[in-house]
Amino acid sequence: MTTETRPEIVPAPRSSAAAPRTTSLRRQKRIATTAIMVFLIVASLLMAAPFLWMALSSIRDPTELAKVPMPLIPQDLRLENYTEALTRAPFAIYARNSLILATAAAVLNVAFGSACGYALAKMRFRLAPAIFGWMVACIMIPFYATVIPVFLMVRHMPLFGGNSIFGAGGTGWIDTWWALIVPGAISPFMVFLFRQFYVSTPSELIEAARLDGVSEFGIYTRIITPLIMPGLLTVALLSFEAGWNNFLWPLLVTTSENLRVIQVGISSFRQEAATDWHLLMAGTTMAAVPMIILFLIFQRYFVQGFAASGIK
Amino acid sequence: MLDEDVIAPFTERTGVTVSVDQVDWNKLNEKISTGIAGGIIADLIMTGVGWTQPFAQKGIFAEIPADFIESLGFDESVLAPARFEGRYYSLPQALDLRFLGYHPEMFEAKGITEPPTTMEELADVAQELTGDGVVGLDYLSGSAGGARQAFVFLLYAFGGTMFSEDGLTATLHEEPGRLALQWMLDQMDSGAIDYDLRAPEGQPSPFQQRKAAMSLVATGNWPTWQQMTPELCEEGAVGVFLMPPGAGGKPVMFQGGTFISISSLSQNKDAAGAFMKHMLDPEFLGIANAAIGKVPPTPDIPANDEIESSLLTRFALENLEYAGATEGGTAAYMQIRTNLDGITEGCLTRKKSVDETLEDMKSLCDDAISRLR
Repeated sequence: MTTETRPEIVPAPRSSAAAPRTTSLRRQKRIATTAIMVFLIVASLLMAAPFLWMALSSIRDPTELAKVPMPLIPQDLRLENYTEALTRAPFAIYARNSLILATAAAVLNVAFGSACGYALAKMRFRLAPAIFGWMVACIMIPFYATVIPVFLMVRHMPLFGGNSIFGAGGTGWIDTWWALIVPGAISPFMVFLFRQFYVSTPSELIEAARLDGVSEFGIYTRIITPLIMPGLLTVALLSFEAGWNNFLWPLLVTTSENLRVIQVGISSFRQEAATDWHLLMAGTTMAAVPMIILFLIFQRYFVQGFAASGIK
Repeated sequence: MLDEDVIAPFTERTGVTVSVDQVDWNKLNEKISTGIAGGIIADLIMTGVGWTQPFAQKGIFAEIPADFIESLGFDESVLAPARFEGRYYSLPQALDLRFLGYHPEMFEAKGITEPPTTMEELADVAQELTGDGVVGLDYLSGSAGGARQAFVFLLYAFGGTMFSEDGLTATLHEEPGRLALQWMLDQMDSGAIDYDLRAPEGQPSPFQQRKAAMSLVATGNWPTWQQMTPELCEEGAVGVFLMPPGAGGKPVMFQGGTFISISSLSQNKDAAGAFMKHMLDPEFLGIANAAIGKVPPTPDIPANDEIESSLLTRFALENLEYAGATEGGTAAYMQIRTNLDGITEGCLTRKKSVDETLEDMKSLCDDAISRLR
């Protein structure tokens, strides 16, 4: 009976209904994928548009820049904009200075920030929450509010630049590498970022290492810090980017041409009455390229880092 | 240009070396202010109109001897922004003067033979020229200064001033100020001024694009015209005239520009003074101004092709005596200038009435001035 009734289950109609459903699901999936792709392409183009516009404008003739409407693709490739920009300002010196400043900012922020972040996340001491709260509060203080106090500290640095032990009589760190690098060597945001990374690492490893007799510094450098490699790269990249793009502080504390950084150099193409847009775009493109290359190389770690820190 | 053509001859002649600290105009106040706070400031400082009184009052700028100033023979109109409490603390080196420009063929097409000579005529002409995709007067596009400077220019045209002679009382909110704001609003109502008529930065202004028949123009526009729209630089391609008076007075020209001061903290005052004299030498005034489309503060300079080829500079030099519309005049102006932009914009975008705007301007100035006492 069972064998007789089996054909009555009538699988055929079910399969005939499932086939269109599968096709429909597949089509829906394809449409969704296509829609997402289109959305991502449009979003990417929108995000990349200013950079593409900058790069295209950097090889346009000044008269073409003034055309209304401006042609999308440059009609004559004018690479002389780059040579002219390089002639008008010592970009090699500016780029060297920016590289030194950005590298120092990256190295020092990683070194000091990770140490502070580790202490706040893993070391047990009574003031840790208060110090962490103070660090977070410091993130909210705008740069403009601190610029004059920091400037005064730099200017009155004892025993530098002709200053006495009391910080008077000379110029302190003004117009020196110290003034460019030291105030940016640590940032409360980077400490906060590192603290978030270290919080997510297992404390059991620290306990085990202590039992094995590893020193506290050894635990920090050899056991825990290697676990937050994306964090190290994130902070390094962010600090490098901040150092590379720093404009106001180097402008305030330097006066010598040989200490000027690339962002300050670029601003020389922008004057009170007129702007050399073709040179400004060429200079800006040259300044942006290193950051774009760095981001392309490290983007995977960069995104991982933000995701792991809980900031994303 | 400054290094090779102006500084090098000075160094060669005197043996004094000059190091230039080039600062972005938009960050100059921050640079000087932090320098003042730290007691480190350049020997010679180049600032703008409206900056002298605030820094002189703080004791940052050193007084310049009157006999030296008299020897220069500059017109009183260009010396007024250099004074504080009757003494001189800066000197004009490169002026950026503003007036009105027009397309002669658009005037001809409407049968207009002469530029307007009163504010009423200017309004009538602007309205007559409006239409067929053309705006009569491009006054607010920012091609020659922002809303604040547009207001200040009209304020003087209507016979007003920003502050009292001693700089301790605001006067910009008085009747001429009301007339200036109302004039702009009336022209916007009639369509003769279009608030939305703007060009992206780096693109030719509406006047250059012939979307406006008349426009506020600055002498510093000339190099941009040469680069972007050279046809405007041909003889007869553009006409220019002074801002007509609104109350039967004299026509006016708006004065911006670069002024030189010696730091009172300078350890090298003699060298700084010598370099200032060098910069104000007629020959170097001509060289320094020619390259950037600026106007020397005196017409008594050696023949210079670039200056003579600029219609705007020539016109400005011929009319220096009318360059009386200037910003500032109070030691509190650094706290006023940026906020004044927003208040004026608020009126032009109809967020505030004329009376409310004038009241806001007065409050802003009174607050800032009260902090001086």
